[in-house]
Amino acid sequence: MDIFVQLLINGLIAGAIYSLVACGFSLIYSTNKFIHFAHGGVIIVSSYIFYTLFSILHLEFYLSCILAILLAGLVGYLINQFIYKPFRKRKASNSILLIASFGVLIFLESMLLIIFGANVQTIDYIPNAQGLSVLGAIITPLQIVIIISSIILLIFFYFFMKKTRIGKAMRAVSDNPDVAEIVGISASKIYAWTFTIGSMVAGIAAILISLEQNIEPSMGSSLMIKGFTAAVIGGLGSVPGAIFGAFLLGFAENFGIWYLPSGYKDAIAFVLLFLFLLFRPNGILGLKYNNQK
Amino acid sequence: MLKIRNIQKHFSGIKAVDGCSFDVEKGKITALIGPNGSGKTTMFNLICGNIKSDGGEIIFSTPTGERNIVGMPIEKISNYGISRLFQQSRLFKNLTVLENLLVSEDNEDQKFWKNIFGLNKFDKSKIDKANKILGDFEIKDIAHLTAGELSFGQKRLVEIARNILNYHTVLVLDEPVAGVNPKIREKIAKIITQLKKDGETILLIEHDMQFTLGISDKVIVMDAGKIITTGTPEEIRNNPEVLRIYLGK
Repeated sequence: MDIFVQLLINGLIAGAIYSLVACGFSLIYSTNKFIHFAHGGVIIVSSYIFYTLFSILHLEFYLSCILAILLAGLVGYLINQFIYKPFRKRKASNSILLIASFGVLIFLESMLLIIFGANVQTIDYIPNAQGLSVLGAIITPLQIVIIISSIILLIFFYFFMKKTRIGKAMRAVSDNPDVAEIVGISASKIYAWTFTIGSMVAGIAAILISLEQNIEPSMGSSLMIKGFTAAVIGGLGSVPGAIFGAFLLGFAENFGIWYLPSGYKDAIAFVLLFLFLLFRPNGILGLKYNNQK
Repeated sequence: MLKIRNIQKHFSGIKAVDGCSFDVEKGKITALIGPNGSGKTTMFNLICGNIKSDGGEIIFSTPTGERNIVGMPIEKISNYGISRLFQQSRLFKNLTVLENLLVSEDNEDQKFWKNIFGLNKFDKSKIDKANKILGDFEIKDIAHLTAGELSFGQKRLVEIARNILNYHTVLVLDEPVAGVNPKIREKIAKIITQLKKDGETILLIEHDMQFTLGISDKVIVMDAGKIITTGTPEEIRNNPEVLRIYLGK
């Protein structure tokens, strides 16, 4: 029973982190319709921005958090403006944009390697506190913060997309950018906003990840694979689907290692990715979404 | 209101629109007729910015004065006041009917900070306006459905409602009654008649000659990318050149 509860909590923590990665990624995919792999790069750059502000420049913790989130948004905005927008203007296909996104990801990770080196970095803001015991399982205060933050953010996201005018405009562009332009919505501006907002969510994910674990330049790719897998499971382009997929992935990985050695954790993610791509490429919530089109 | 001057568009050597000039007058219905392939829809695409012209000018009276709108982005032309209905259905299929109307109602959606701080909500008057038009069109009961769930006729009515709600000074209607059943056709005819009474400026393409000649103030006939004649519906009915094009006489 203890193991079951512990794995459940571990799955919840992993799912919360993956959902933050997948949520921003899925938002960007839903309007832009290409796989922005550099989203992982934005996360790791944001982690290093936070590390620089807080651990090197010794700025106040909350100020560092706010600045890291804003700068993450700026990084996403600049990637769109200077890389993807010129490609879009030249009517580049989604494959070209996908290749460009890999290029950006490699560029960002390499820049971090040059600046910070390959060593892992640690942000010691929250000391490894005594974990709380919940039904025999252990959870640290930081892990509780991660779960609560992600849930609050995801609820905010839901209302943002459903209730705000810009959320509706994003859904309109996601549905059909040509029609959006006909009714006076600038698809180009909406693309820029989705990159900015999606990257700000990446910034939040980056802060929580860097508080929970060590950071290193190559982390972006592995995080992105998890976020992408979650988005595929839930249904690419569907933000609620991505969140659902992220928690499913978190639980699958953690319950999987009940029977398998823990080294197989990543393999579980890949197996799930392959299975969904082969048998249900539209994902769990994506099927309904796409059928309506 | 809208002045087309020597507008041209070629596709791989084929002259789709070949030096056409005409005026769309305020408060009048101007119809563009001609056989298939005569260049009518290309003309609409040029006016609305869906394609770029190879030459000529399109002068539009905007709130800030007359402007040549050739080469402007589609959304800018729309925001200046040209609202277009397409031949094929173009709704946001995953948005509800009401949401389809609301996103079209004004051009405030992209003002991020204003929206994020709730300073620019869809207020009651805007929602009421959208609901009123749905009521007038007798489709209020489908307001909560996503556009993907609608029949072709319902989609057509929602699109016309969206066109009217979208800020405009000119309505550009491409075959509004094409492909709909007689009941919906009658409904759309009534709507366009009412728009005429309300003094709307309309540029219309429609293959239904009885309908077009019955409602228009001015008719422009195109063939092979050129304007061959312009006149009142009565003059067009009796024009031998028009009869030759349509009937091969």
